[in-house]
Parts: sequence; C-alpha cells; structure tokens
Amino acid sequence: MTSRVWATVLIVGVGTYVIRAVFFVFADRTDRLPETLQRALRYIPAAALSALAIPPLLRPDGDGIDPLHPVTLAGVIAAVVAFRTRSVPWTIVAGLAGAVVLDAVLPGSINARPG
Amino acid sequence: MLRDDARTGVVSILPVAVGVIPFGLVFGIAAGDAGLDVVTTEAFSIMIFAGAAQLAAVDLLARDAAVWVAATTALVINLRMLMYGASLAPYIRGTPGWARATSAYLLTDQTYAVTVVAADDLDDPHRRLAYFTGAGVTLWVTWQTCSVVGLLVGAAIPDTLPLPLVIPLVFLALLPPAVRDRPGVVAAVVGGAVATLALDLPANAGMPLGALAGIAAGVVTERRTQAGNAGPSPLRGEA
Repeated sequence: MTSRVWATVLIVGVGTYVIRAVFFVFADRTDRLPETLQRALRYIPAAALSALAIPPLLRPDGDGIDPLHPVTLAGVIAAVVAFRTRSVPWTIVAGLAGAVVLDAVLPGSINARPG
Repeated sequence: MLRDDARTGVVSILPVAVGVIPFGLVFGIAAGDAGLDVVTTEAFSIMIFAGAAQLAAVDLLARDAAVWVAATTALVINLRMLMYGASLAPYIRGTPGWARATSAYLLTDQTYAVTVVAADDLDDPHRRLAYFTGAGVTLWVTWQTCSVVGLLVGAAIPDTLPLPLVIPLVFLALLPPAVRDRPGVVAAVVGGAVATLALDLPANAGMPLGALAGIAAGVVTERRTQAGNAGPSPLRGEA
C-alpha cells in the first residue's frame, strides 16, 4: 500500500503543480493568446463560480432537484442576500440560518456534500 | 503596502476557511480509513493540496485501484485549475517570475474565487499577488491542520452546524460581483445549469464541463450583442 500511496502522491503532486503554474509562469505572454481565448477569459469567473455554487445547492444529496429541500430553499434565501448585500459573511449567515431553521420544519438532510 | 494587501487576503478568506474545516476533517478521516499514517496523510495534503482530488485518490487506493487510475482521476479533477490560472494571469502580469511560480502552488477554488473578485479593486499586480498569497497561505494552514486532526481525532467530531454548506455559499456570495454584464449573466446561468445536470459524471467532470459551457455561452452572447448593435440602433451601448 505504502509504495502505491507515494507513487500516487508524487504523480498527482507534480501534475497538479504544473496545472496550477502554467498560466502563472507565462502570465506576461497572455496578451499573445488568440483574441477569442482572451475574450473567453472574461467569462471564467461568472461561469466557474456558478458551476461551483449551484450544484451543491440544487442537488445537495446528489438526487433530483427538490425545490422544497431545506438546502435548496436556504440557497434561494442566500442568493437574494448575496445579490442585495454582496457580502460573503452575510450570505453565509443567511444560508446557514436558513438551512438550520428549514431543516427543523422540512424533511431532507442539510449536510450537503463538500464542493 | 503589500503587507496590508496580504493581510486583507487573509481576512477575506477566513469565512471560507471555516467552510473548509469539515472538508479537511473528512479527508483526514478517509485517510485513516484507508490505512494511511500521519506522514502519508500529510504527504497528500502538502504535495497535492486539493481536497476533492485527494479524497478521490485515497478512496480509489483504498479500493485497490491501480496507481494510474487513482492518479489520472485526481489529475482530471484538478484540471479545472487551468481555468483559474488563465483567468488570474492577466491580473498578475509584471510581477517577478519566481513569485508567480511560488504562489501558483496555493491556487485553489477558494483562493481563485476571492482573488478574482477583489482583483479589480486592487490597482497593481503586485498588490493582487500579495492578496492572493495571503489568502492562499491561510487556506493552506487550515487544510494541513484539519487533515491531521481528522486523521487523529476521526469520527469524534460533532456536526451540529451544516458547515460543509459554507463552501457553496461562499461561491454564491462571490457570484454577483463576478457577473458584470448580460453575457456574464448568460455565462453564469448556463455554467450553473450544465454543472447541475452533469453532477453525476465521474471525476467531478460536471464542474469544468459546466464552466466551459458557460464561458462559450458568454462569448457567443457577446458576439450576438455586438452584431445586433453594429448599426445605428437605440440599443447601442447596452449590455
């Protein structure tokens, strides 16, 4: 087991560093990228953050979408707070409080899978 | 001063770090179940420093999968970080190469998210890199600590608050400032929808797939908007 663990750690460790570093290291040359790709860079934050945030809120247990799931409803509350306040702490407070309160009233588990 | 920007980075990621605590504990517990000791658990967390990939690799190794299967799965999960690097690169242009090469190690979902949203308010690439590094080091310390605590203390940790929920909530909170115009709205809607539909794909492929679909939708919308506004139209300049 131990040699398999070390082999995996080494391969994934080196590979992950390369994935992380390639654009950082060549940052000064990003203006030479094709124009379409440079335009695409502008939409990475919106698309990536949404792809990270939405699935664990809409499908917290990995099942189908249940609009009455406490986590999903708490996500809706948190979304309203996020767009109104643009505050990370307030969004967290609203989402957690909403999930705990709704969990006491509605069926479904509030322990969403980590994103 | 750069030190102030690094400190702002530390403070801004603190609520995020709270959400990462249960995730780190879960990894430590999974490592213990797979028969890893403190050294090999920390080797995972230090060398890889990416929760979802570490969990998948440990889980596969524990189920006697081949090394190349575990490694490939983990690397596919981490491919999404290519997007983060590409997205941040224009913001840190002009900083020393060694500083970029070093801090790249700290790139994660969370450090990317807080930095890219803060980047427009920081007028200088050095300040952005300092902010990024402050946030990254904070998350790194949290992750290393929680991996070991999870391994040693194990399942004795109570879960009264749904802390894992904090992670998607942070991304949700950072979404409004990241959506700047109509193509951005389309990118976010398509990205979230495709990632949700593709949640069951192996190696967490739904997330990068959703992000790529969202980016493409954003670019297409931008083109259409411009084509529609090419002539003398009252809509010109909108979106």
